[in-house]
Amino acid sequence: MNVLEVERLNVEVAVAHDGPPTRIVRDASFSLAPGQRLGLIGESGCGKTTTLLAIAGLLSASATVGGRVSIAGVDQFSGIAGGRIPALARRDVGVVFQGTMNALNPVQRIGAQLREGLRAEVRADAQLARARVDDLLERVGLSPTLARAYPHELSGGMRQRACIAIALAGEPRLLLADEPTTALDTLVEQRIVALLDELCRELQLAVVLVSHDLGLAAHFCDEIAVMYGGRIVERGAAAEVTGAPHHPYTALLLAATPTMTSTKGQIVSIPGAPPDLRDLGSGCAFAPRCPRAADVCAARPELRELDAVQVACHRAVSR
Amino acid sequence: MSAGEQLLSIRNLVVRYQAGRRHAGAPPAVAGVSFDVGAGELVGLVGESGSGKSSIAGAILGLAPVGSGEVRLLGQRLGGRSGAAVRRLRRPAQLVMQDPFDSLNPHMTVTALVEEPMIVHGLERGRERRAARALELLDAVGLRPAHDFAARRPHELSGGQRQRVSIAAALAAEPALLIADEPVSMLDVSVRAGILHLLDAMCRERRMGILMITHDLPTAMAFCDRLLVMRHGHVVASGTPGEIRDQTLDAYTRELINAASPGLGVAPQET
Ligand SMILES: Nc1ncnc2c1ncn2[C@@H]1O[C@H](COP(=O)(O)OP(=O)(O)O)[C@@H](O)[C@H]1O
Ligand code: SF4
Ligand SMILES: [Mg+2]
Repeated sequence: MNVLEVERLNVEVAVAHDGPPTRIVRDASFSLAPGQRLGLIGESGCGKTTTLLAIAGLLSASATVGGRVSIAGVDQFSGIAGGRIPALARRDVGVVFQGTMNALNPVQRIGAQLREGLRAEVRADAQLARARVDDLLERVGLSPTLARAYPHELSGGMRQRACIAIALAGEPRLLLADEPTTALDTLVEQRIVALLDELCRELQLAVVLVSHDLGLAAHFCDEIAVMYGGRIVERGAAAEVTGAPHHPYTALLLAATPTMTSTKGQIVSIPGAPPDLRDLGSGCAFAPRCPRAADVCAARPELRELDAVQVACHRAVSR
Repeated sequence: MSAGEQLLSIRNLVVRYQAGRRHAGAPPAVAGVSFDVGAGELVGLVGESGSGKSSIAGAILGLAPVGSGEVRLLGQRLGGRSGAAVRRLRRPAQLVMQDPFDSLNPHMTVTALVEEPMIVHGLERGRERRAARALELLDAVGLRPAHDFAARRPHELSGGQRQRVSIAAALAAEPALLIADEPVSMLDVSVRAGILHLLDAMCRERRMGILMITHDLPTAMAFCDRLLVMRHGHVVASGTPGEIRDQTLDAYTRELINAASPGLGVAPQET
């Protein structure tokens, strides 16, 4: 059984104070088997975080969700406004965000924060709970003595480890991570990624990783979904999508990402900016920035199968 | 500046912050670093946070205490002076900061932001000349047509556009040396190259020297003429990007090289 199924997810939010609702996520669909990892990539404002929050049931009450999200076989909200997930089901989901200081309670010891995340039956048994907290800290490479520490006593890397331990405390089957290493230095980032990799493998966790770093997503994930203007515009195996992109946007994102052998002439920027989601028009949302745009692009391209991937572009061709 | 002199010349620089009791005996933030930046040269300072990169920038800009060693800008030794004299000496070095979201005053228009350094340094006298110069600079940093941007405020600009305004404001002080502290790390990957190519063009066309501080090794490799890798206040590797990539034996630098963009630049695996 799939751990996560997302079917035609749509999210609407009132962007301006009393303005009309804006659709921020449009018809996103994907699913994950145990242990499978999906990377959601794209520029800021493309709807990645909103997609993740919708799955986690963490959207503000004013948001409207449509479509279907099912976690471990349990439907989270079939068309219910607000998309509140019952607390019980949420135990199957662990979340890790970018700003570790925001995720941690600054005035509560790490151990207490870990205990709060434990399953109720574990928490009820003080001895078991203590052992479990020690075990979680050890798993993420922290000394159990740090259970008594406050967040500000830890370095950025240690705090992110603590956040991962908290995300794992409820024994989830799905991990949702939004830019979990973006604020960290290269080598700290590498260690955290290696840790996540090991833990997810060991626990057979399914993962959705939101990242603006195509290199990281390609390295960590089995599959990549590229979002633009609230839609998934290309999706497929990580090696396919980054090795031979079919969508012009994916190709440009790749060209903008330097590797150790890039020369400056090879690194390009993408002209223009992501679209205003309030005013998307009826054609391909990428058209104003697309070097391949043509007359056909005045109609919106649907996601279709092409070679081994899915792509929403009229002009993408088989290779 | 006489012939052969460097724009920036740093010798045996030690930066040590006031040791509180808690930090007594702490190692210096910069522990004896020497390097030069010449006109038309883009030099990268690479390392993790806490490695001393920003302390070096701080020492050049008079924001960090120089314990020993010397910093020369256009041949003039900095330090030991105060007030207007030192401001005049330091003007040739201008800073572009990491975060275009909080380095720009949200209440000022783009023109006012670019004109302010001219006023501070007494460079363009007269309203009209300042306004004309501001438009010229906006055009130079790619905010075109410049008059469309002139009256906007920071919140009406994208991140990349704000960073271009920061660069225009730095250029308004007519610097010989630009210190760019993580100039693109807060920006989307899609707009980073635009800013980097702009800095590169400043360097080549205006013969400006640029010291670019970054933790992003691939970017430094692609854009810098030379780079210095720092760790714990020391330079552990230096040279051209090719030398760093192919010849460096320093274990830490090799680790950084191996950690860079792990998923790309390799042929897709067979599945
Ligand atoms: N609660 C909200 N209220 C208003 N606007 C929102 C809200 N959530 C998201 N948005 C807007 O939706 C767009 C997509 O945001 P987000 O999902 O954060 O994208 P990403 O994670 O790809 O950067 C952005 O323009 C953002 O400002
Ligand atoms: S549909 Fe047209 S505009 Fe859109 S990405 Fe494809 S070629 Fe470009
Ligand atoms: Mg986001």
